[in-house]
Parts: sequence; structure tokens; C-alpha cells
Amino acid sequence: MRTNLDSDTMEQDAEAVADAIDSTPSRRRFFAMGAGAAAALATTRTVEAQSSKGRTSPFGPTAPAGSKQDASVEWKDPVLRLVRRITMGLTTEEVTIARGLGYAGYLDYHLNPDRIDDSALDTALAARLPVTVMTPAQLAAFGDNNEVANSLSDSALYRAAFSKRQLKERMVEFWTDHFTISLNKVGFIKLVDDRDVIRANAIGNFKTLLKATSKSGAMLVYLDQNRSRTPTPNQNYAREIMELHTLGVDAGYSQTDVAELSRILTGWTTQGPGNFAFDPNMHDRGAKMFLGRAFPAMVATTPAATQMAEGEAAIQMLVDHPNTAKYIALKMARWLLAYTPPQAVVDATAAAYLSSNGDISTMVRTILSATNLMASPAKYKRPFHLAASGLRGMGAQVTNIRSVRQRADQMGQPIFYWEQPNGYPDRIDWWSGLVLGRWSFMADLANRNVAAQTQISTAPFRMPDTADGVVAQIATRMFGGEMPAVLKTQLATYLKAGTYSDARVRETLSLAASATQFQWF
Amino acid sequence: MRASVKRCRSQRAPRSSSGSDVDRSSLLTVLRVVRMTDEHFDNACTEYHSLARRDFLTTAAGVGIAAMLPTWLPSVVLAQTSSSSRDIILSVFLSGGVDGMSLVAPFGDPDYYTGRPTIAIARPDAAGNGPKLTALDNFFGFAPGMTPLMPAYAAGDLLVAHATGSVNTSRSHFDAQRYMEVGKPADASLTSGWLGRHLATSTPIRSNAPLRALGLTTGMPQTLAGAPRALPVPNPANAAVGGSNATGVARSQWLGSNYATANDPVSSNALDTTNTMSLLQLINFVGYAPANGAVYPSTGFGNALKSAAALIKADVGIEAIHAFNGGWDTHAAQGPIATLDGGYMHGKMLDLSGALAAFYADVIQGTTSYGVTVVVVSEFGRNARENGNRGTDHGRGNVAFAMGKKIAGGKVMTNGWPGLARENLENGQDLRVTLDHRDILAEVVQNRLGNPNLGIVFPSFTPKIRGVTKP
Repeated sequence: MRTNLDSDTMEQDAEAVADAIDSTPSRRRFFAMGAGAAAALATTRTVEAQSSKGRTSPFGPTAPAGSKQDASVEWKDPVLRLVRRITMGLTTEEVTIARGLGYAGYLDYHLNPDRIDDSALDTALAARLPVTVMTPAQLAAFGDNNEVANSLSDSALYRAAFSKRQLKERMVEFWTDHFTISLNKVGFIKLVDDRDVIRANAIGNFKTLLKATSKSGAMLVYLDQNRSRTPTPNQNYAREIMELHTLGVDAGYSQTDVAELSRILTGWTTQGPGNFAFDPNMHDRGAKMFLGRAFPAMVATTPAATQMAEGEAAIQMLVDHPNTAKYIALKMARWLLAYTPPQAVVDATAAAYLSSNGDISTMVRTILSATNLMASPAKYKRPFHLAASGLRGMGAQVTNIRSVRQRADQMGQPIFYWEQPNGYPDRIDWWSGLVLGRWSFMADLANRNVAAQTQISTAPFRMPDTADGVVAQIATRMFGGEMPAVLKTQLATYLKAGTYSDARVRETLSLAASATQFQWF
Repeated sequence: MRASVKRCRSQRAPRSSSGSDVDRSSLLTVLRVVRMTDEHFDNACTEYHSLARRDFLTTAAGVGIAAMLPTWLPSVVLAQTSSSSRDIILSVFLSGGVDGMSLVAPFGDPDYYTGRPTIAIARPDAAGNGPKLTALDNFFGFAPGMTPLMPAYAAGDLLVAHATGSVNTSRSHFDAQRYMEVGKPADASLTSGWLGRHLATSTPIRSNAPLRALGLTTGMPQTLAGAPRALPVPNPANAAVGGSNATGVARSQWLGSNYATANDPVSSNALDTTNTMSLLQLINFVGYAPANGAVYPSTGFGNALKSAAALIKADVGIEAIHAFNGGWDTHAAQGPIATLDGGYMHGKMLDLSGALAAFYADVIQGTTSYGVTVVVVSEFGRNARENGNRGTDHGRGNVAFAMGKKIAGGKVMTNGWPGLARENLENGQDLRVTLDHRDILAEVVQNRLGNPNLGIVFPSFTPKIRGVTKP
């Protein structure tokens, strides 16, 4: 991949401008420093492509040139890499399971989530957040949309942090963005979509998942499909199902195809508390031409099921399309492997999509071979992922997660509230500027000590109860034993610089979770 | 830390540096404020104070220091009021594709009314007391929700452009927005933003500013990508590392050195953050009192613009601020007036225009101390005709706005109104784009931001200077 403005050109141009305007040495130097940082940002391609040139730290000498390296360089153990990559964060329990099963066995284990007993968590959530197990009719009658929204958001973070089905949680986050529905627009029916559409199919079959979303009341309301009627159809869903859900933007369809698909889908609507319905009175029975296929005209007496079937046929064309295989393969490889996954991996994953008829676990296996994973650079945790990994790494005991979740939302990723239909960005440049929110979240989390809400106990970290003991426990519990030496030294230095106390230990936990080494997976 | 610096301001100290070293010593001062620990405090504070005092004395010309300082701004770190003739820019992106024909309706085009039988807004001269347009000239009018901007328009400080937008015909929100933010249509490989490249190719207005640009956003807007010293700061009033105050400085220092070895952009972002944190903490956003009786709406966007005003007036070297205002994807029941479908879009317009009008009164109107230009764009307009849900689908030509003392406003600029008759519409459905929005931005960059490098800011584009700005 090439940018039009490569960093050297940009820096030269910038310096030339600086020279022309002001050639005093000090100004020029400051300016050049700024331009260097600018160029680095401007040309962000992949993590490993970044150079080490940049500004000097005001906190002392920076690392010598060339010493900046991808966080994954420290990650020698393939099994630990896999745990990092397919969970919401390392815990000693998870590492023990993974070591017992080995790389392939551990991946198998998580690709079969229904075989993992998660009933304790389900029971706890049903008791603590009863709204999350209500039927659509009960939800409609419940009336408190605010509580529904809070319960859904709480349960998402709680499951992410504490479900044993960790890869499922990573895939739920992925599909939640791929099939984004803003809670602000649709209200309680997003809870139904999350439970019965996204979670039910997160490691199932993509084609089944896509078809389920096309009959999800929340999706139809979110993208205005429920109102689309002949003779003036609404194009919102027809466009996004191709651009965002299947083919990818401009990948083999035209503006005319958008208009024709919107005609085909007229009548796909909702009734009652967000239930799917087909209303033949809203449907356009005229002849259509979609992606080169003719859909003949129908008459008023054509059975409703037949009228609806042309929408199903059009959606079948989309999920069978090779561009859908390519697009889903690219997005999944980006999610699971690297911001810019190797084309060969994307191609193999697209082939897996076609040969397995859209089986998600087959695609995951193709992407996450040990060879691929050992060669891939680290990815940067998005705020939701970071919050879950902080809770996991610190061993939080959670009775009521709400205040922690609301605090986590301030990091910039309240999980069901991205307004546009493309989902939260999976790009480092979107997220990396907002470090302050991450640091203050961890400072807050490490100090939580209320049994009725969230409790971080320092006791497991104080074994033995010395500064070095705490650092060793952090290395084991939060970093799976692979904690870089530089971080060990930095944490020990901080811990020993003040009086050893529970408060100082908590601060050290917060620094460990705020450290750059904890931000990657 | 804020308390420490405040205490420090009451001290008196001799000058320690002279004119030619201003930039360097100012930078050192900023860095020392960041680095200040208990043992370094006195020394850093002395330097800090002497610099601040000298600069105040320079600009205050005999006026007492206390009189110079508004009460909401207890401490000014870089208090050398800028003598730059270059403007600060506030860039607003209306995401979702705003229906410009509702914001600024072409009542002089009869096809506006035939194409939009239920959502068109009544002519300014319509009978009755119902909602109607407010004429901007004999062809265009503001929707009722936009009228808070009439004072800026009447004063000649607000320019409305119409039938403008991108030459790229994508009706995808994300492609269209991306191309607009990077400033070059249909180039998928370009990742830096037009405003980012402006900043990268211009000298800082203050060479010692720790932060030159910020997005009042939860992530880095692509418009600013590539800018040196730029960060997303969703809430400038809450720029703290959290936890115990007693150890806050020590933990900030720890994090600064920990992130020094990280890869970019993480490392440079963290460095900018630690440098900026102390600066933002010195500004009392909560107690900020807008000038001129301006009242910002108590909304996310209103608060963002209020923070922008405080940052500009704090005079800390911010040159560019970017904000999003979303929720304009009105496919159904768009409600451009209060009495239709609950008036969703009417409320959105009141929020937008109310915040911009407050910003105008607070920062632009009647002042000459801060040169500020505002630009407002959106990824595309919406269909000329309404759909079956009293909404509009993705379209093309749209409105854009520029506002400032040096903007040649008080008029609606077009490059010829293409007309809304079906034969004049793009693809038979959309208002055509006859005015490349980059003409507007480029003229602002060149004439108000003082950057002649238009070939870098807008690659492969030769802008036409259309009289957006005035001398």
C-alpha cells in the first residue's frame, strides 16, 4: 500500500516551508520535530512500518534510535499469543486451560462455545439483570427503555470480561460492529437482536447470520426498511446490506442495483414488538433487474410468501457472491490477525468461505494458524476490550458492573451507541490518541473496593507481600508470565519510590494496566 | 497541580530570558510545568512566572496584570498574545449527509415544492402563522431552525454556499466522508486529512504550543490526521490522569517514560497527552463565561463549541479545532419544521445553529483579538425529491458554510443554481454539484490560515478563488 504523500516528501516540503518563513535555528528545529511526528501519523500503514524517529521525551532520554519495536516481539510463546488474540485478556485460569490443550486444542475448545459450560454466568446475569432474559412482549410491556439500555450494556461488558466463551465474546464484538444497530434509534429491540441474532450465530454460519439480521426487527427499524413501501421505497437498508454487510463498497453493484434492491425488499417490515413481517400491500410487484438477474412482474393474487421470496432470493445472491467472501474474509482477518493482513491469508479465508458455504469457524481456523499468528504484529485494544481485560487481569469480583461500565464508556466506545451503520473503527489511528481516558479508567478501576459493586482485591498480588512479590504476581496474572523486563523494572521502581501500602499497590496495578505493554493483544 | 501554579502566580521573580530566546524558553517552560515535581517546583515556577509576567506586560501596555485576566482563566501558560494575522480554524463536519435543501431551502425553485410535497418549508411570503422560511435573498431561505444564525448572516460574517460538495459521486456515507476529510476524491491510499496537511506545512502560530490541533471527538478525525501535535480530546474539562492527586504528577511521569518506547502513533500521542494535560488543567472550563451574552445549547455539540471558545480565548496556541455534529441521516420522518413528525430535524438545526450562533457572538462578533474562521461541511446532500416516508435518501449537492470577520458573508454563493427539474438532476434524482467545496476550503487555507501550500493541502486540485474571504 502506498500513500500519495510519503513521509520523507512531506517532511522535506514542510522543512522547506519552515525555512522560507523563519530560518532561526530554534524555530526550525521545533518545527521539524513537529513535522516528523506529523509524517508518522500521516503515513500510518501498519504498526511495524513505523520508524523510531520522533520527538524527545520531556521525561528524560528516549530509547535509542531503532529500539522501538512491535509489542509482539516479546511474545515468544504461540499458545500465549493465541490466548491474547482470542480472549478479552489474559487470566491465570485461561492460560492454564490453554497450556493444557495446546495451540490447536485450545482453538478448537473456543470454536465450540456451546460445549463450554457457562451456566453459572447465565444464571448470575439472569438474576442480576433480569431484563436481559425478557421476551420481546415482556420488554415492550416493561416500559423503562433506560433500564433496558443499561442492562444490555452492562451484560455486554460482564460477559466480555467473565464468560468462559471468550472467542465467542470477541466475535460478538466483531459482528456487533459489522451489523451495527444504534440503541439510541431502536430502543429495546436491540436487546432481542443481540441475544437472538448476533450471539446465537457469532461462531455459526455467516449466511445464516446475515439472513437472521435481514429479518431482525432492530435492523429493519435501524435502517428504515420497516417503512419502505412502493412506489417510493426507502433505499437505506438496500444500500447498506450491500455496502457494509456483504459485497463491500462499490464491489460489483451500481446505484441502479441499490434502487432495484430497495424495490425488491419493499414490504419487509415489522409488527408488534419488533417482530419481522412481510406486508404485501407495501410490496412493489413490478419487474426488476438486480445484479443482472431479472425478477419478473407479479400480480396482486401472487401469494405473499412468493412475493417475499424474491427478497430472499436477492439476499441469497448476496451471500453467495464471491465479493462477499472477499469482503468478510478481509474484515475477519483484520479483526483477528492484523490491521493489514497478508493478501494470501485473505485469499485463503475467502476460499474457505466459499468451500465451507460461509462457516465462520472454518474461516477463523484459516486465519489463526500458528504460522500466521506468530508472524502477525500486535493489535491495539479498543476501549471495550481494554476495560474487559483490565477487569480480567486485576481479578475483579463484580456484583454490579454498572458504574464501572459507565466509566468505561467514557473511554470512547459505549458498545451499542455508534451512530452510523459502519460500526466502531478497527483502526489504530482512530483510537491511539485517547490515552488519557484509558489511564484514568485504570486508576479508577484499581481503586474500586466495594463488594456490592466491583471489588479489586490486592491480596492475590501481595504474595509474597513485598514490592518484588507484587511485580512478579502482576507479571503472572496480567501478562501470562511474558512481561517485558523494562516494565518490570519500571513497576518495581514506582512501587519502591513510595511507602509500601495497599494504596501504592493499587496504583502499581493501575500503571501496569495503563502501560503501553498492556494495550496490545 | 492547578493549585500549585495558581500559588506560583502571586510570586514575583526577575526576568530570566530575553527576546531572541522566547520560543525556546517558552517551550522549556511548558515542559517544566509538565515535569514539575515537588523538588523541581520552585525553580520551574520561577521561570514560568517570569515568562508569563513579561509577556503580559508586553501586551498589556501598562494595564495591570489582574485586569488582563478573566476570572474563568486563572492561569495562562503561554501568555504571549498572538500577533499572528493567521486565523484559528474551527471545522465542523455534519455527518450522516445533511439535507441542505431543508437547512437553506431554494424557495425560488418551483420544483423544490413539487418534489417535496410534504416536507418542503413554506415560502417566506406564505400566508398564515405557520412555520415558514426566512429569506436570505430572493431565492434561498433559512429553515425556522436555522434563524439563530440570522445575526451573523445580516452582519455579513456568514457565507452560505449551495449546490456545493465533492466531485466524487459516491453515495456511501463512509467513502464520501473519507474523501472529503482527506481532501481528495476517490484516492483510497491517502490517509492524512486536509487540515492535518495544512498544519504539517505551516509553521506553528506558537512554536512552543504543546498542542496545535484537537478534535472534540472520541477518536482522531481523519480531517486532522497528519497534523503535528494533534489529539482527540472529547472533554477538555476533564484532562486528568485520575487517582490520587498526591501521586498524579509522579504517575504522569511514569506513563510518559513508559510510552516513550512504544511504537508510533501510540508513543507520540502519549507524549502529546502528557504535555497537554497540565495545560488543559490550567483552564477553568467549568467556570468559563462566554462574552456578549452568548448562551450555548446544553447539548454535546453546544458544549463542544463552548470548550472550543474557551480554548481559543485561553490563547494557548491551538490553531485548529474539529468537531462532528451527527444524526443527519434522515431517511424517514425527517421533520424539518417543529410541526411535522415531531420536528426531529428542526431540533437538530436548532442545536447546530444555536451553538454556531453562540460561538459567533462569543468569539467572532465585535472582537478583533481572535481571528477565527469557521467552516461547516457534510459528506453529501440528499435526494431532491422526498421518499415515501417523509424523508430523503442519499444525494449529492449540498450546502456549506463559512463564518468569520474576514469571510465575505451575507450572501448565498452558488456557481449557478443547477435547478431541481428532473432533467437537471444528477441521475434524475439529485441536485448537481456545481461548486467544488474545496474552492471554499482552499481559499480559507490560503487567505485566512496563511498557508500557500495548496498543492499539498489539496493534492491534484487547482482551486478557484471565488471571493469567500475578504481582505
